[in-house]
Amino acid sequence: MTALAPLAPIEAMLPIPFRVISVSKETSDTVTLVLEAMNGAPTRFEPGQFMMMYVFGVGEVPISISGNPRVPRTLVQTVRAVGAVTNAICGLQPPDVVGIRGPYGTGWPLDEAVGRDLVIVAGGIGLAPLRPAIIEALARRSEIRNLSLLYGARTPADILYKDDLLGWEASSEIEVEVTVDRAPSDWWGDVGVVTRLLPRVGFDPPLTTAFVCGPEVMMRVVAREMRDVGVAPDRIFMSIERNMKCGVGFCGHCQYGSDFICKSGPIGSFSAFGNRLTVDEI
Amino acid sequence: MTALVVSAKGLDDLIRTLKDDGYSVIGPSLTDNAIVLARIDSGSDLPLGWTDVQGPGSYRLEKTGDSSRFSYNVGPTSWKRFLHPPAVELVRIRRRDGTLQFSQSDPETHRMAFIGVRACELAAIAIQDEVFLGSRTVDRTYSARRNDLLIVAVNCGVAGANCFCASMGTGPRCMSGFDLVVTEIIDGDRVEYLIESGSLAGIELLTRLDGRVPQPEDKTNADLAVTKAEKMMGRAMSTSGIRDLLVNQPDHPRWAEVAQRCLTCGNCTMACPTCFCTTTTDAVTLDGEAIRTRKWDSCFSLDFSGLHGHAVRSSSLSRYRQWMTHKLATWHDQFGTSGCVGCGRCITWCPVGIDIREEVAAIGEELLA
Amino acid sequence: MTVQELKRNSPILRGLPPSSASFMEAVGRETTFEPGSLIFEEDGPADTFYLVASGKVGLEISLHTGPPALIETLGSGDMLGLSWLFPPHRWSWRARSLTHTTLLAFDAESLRNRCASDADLALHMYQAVAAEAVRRLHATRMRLLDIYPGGDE
Repeated sequence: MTALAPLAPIEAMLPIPFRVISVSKETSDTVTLVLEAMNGAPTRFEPGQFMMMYVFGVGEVPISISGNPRVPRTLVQTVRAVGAVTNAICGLQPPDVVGIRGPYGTGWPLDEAVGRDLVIVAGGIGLAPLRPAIIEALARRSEIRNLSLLYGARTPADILYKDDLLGWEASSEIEVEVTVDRAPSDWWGDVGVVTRLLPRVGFDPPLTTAFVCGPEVMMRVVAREMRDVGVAPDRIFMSIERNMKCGVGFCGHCQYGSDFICKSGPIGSFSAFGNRLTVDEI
Repeated sequence: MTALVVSAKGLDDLIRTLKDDGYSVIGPSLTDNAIVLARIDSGSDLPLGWTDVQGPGSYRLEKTGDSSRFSYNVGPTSWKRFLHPPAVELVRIRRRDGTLQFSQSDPETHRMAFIGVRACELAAIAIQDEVFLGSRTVDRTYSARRNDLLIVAVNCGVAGANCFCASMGTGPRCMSGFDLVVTEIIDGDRVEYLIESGSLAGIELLTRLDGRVPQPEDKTNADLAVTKAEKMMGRAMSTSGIRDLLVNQPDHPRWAEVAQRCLTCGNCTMACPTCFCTTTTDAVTLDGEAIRTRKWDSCFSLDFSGLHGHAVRSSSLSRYRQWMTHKLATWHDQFGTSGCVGCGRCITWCPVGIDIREEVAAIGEELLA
Repeated sequence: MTVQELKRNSPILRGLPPSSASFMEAVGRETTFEPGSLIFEEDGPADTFYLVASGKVGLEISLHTGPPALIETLGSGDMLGLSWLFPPHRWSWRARSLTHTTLLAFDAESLRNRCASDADLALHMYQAVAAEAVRRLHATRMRLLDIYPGGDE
């Protein structure tokens, strides 16, 4: 009995080698790697998508892409050392080689922000998958009305992409507000939760699109506050993180209710994730 | 459809013909006091005169006293073991010349013929077809094994206490998805097999077997056998509104109650013919080659939902709820059908005898009360 | 924003009945602070109600043995200090301007006296200050969660 004829068997599980070109330390436990495909092929992706990164003999993990989508020659990924594989990644140096497959998952829907205000809210390492969206929004600046970035971190030492933030802050293209939970007395930015910054930036709620990424509890609180001031829940987008092994919906690990986060996520709207956001251990 | 009535020898001829055609023939056989699916070489490997008595957390073989070969239901193994094997090598990686060389491990090519596939199992295969072949990305291993597969199904003539295929709409009669379907007709000491075709390959096979043309009473007797099985079936599963029933009640007290009994051993997921989840492991050989292997995994394990050093689903409540809600509810959203075919394996092989039908009923009753 | 914009936009000044609004207009005065200057001190008399028009104010507490701890920052549109409305009318925190800061200041005693006879204004003030207190409580609880992983500590 012949089954459905496969349309095009995709070599889904075969990584290709990428060389580490440079490593920069973001914080005490987080590094940003710049990589290049050894076959010279460009790496095209949508802001918000992720790659599966393999370290020889150690394993493979999903890592969001943090580079400029208009510079496909290099792949930029920011990694925090939390487990065996990410610790190994954080120890890489040029000219080490890793395996990469992808990109996988949904992207930040920049088109949803055209002709509207775009508020980008990041918490902690949640800025990493948003960086390509910020870069792309700046590249398409004329299509967007007010553009703002609110970023919350634990302490000033935990802030990612400090040079980018200073550059963005200096430009008149984007309003930037940075806040931390705890600060030494010489801190120049704000202290407090990121939601306290919302009234500071300009946006017209019925004409606003929001991209939110950070710890789930933070995304939920931000999304609710935005909804409460009148932003449509289907215009508030967030990125959900779950365990992933395959990236193509076969391994089952990343299930979040009906979604395979690797396929129909990681990015979805506040209204689409809906009640699941308050179900414990879903 | 063409059909033939054969004796036990005809069944043996069928198996030999398939072997001659180069098939590796897999069917039910008696091993370790259970009827399991394994490679068989002739009709004599089929369990002659045995039946299984199943209950929640219990399985036992008994003699039937006749010469039937299919008077039992499903055992601990399912066909997924052969289409979606427990361990599959994916990739080999070598460090060479300052780079990494990745070579995709080719799926072992097995031209397989399955003998004795039940209606619920045909449904389970169709469900895994949807999982592994139904989207843009196709699973290489499953596809390679599935494409050359020949299926000889069997209509059930008996049903056990844990069978509920009728309420899942998958059986006991085999309707489609097979090359041949066999119905065992037992008349005292005499046992005959009505074999009907379901595909061109099946029709071609029938032309190579000796038998007699079926008479109207053969069809009647075959129908009676399946009807008997339908009537023997155990408790029904209540499936009405089941998706919303489970998805909308993550805080139902029954989840905490069943979590008191559930050992989170994962037996149900291993025995289930549709559970498909896997993990990937890494090993490095002594000569420096790394091998990535895909292995069956279970949503009952803590690691399954591990995220940054902790488990998203740390409680057994959340893990049982994930399994059952996925199987019976969110599967509809993902693949357009239920993930349950009513085979009852999860009930039989649960060490504490949790009955999925009872759990659904308990959650449903609370709603009506 | 300018003090005039603040007067138009601030939820606490908007929607007042005309007589209360003209009272607030009469007692409100603009005041500025240079970077680093003290606005009020811990345990000092809470004799002024402030709204931040522009700049940034830090709420600190002395740790005595080292530099003070910066608890929260307040910016444009925020209320600075809630204690002026509640006995014993003393500040719990120290407030320092972190940048050049423009504030709209109201004499607290006049405001409290007016509230004693102007029920509409009193209700409006208590509602606005209570709502801000609730927002700050929620924000503080969020920070207690310490949701961002990692860090140097």
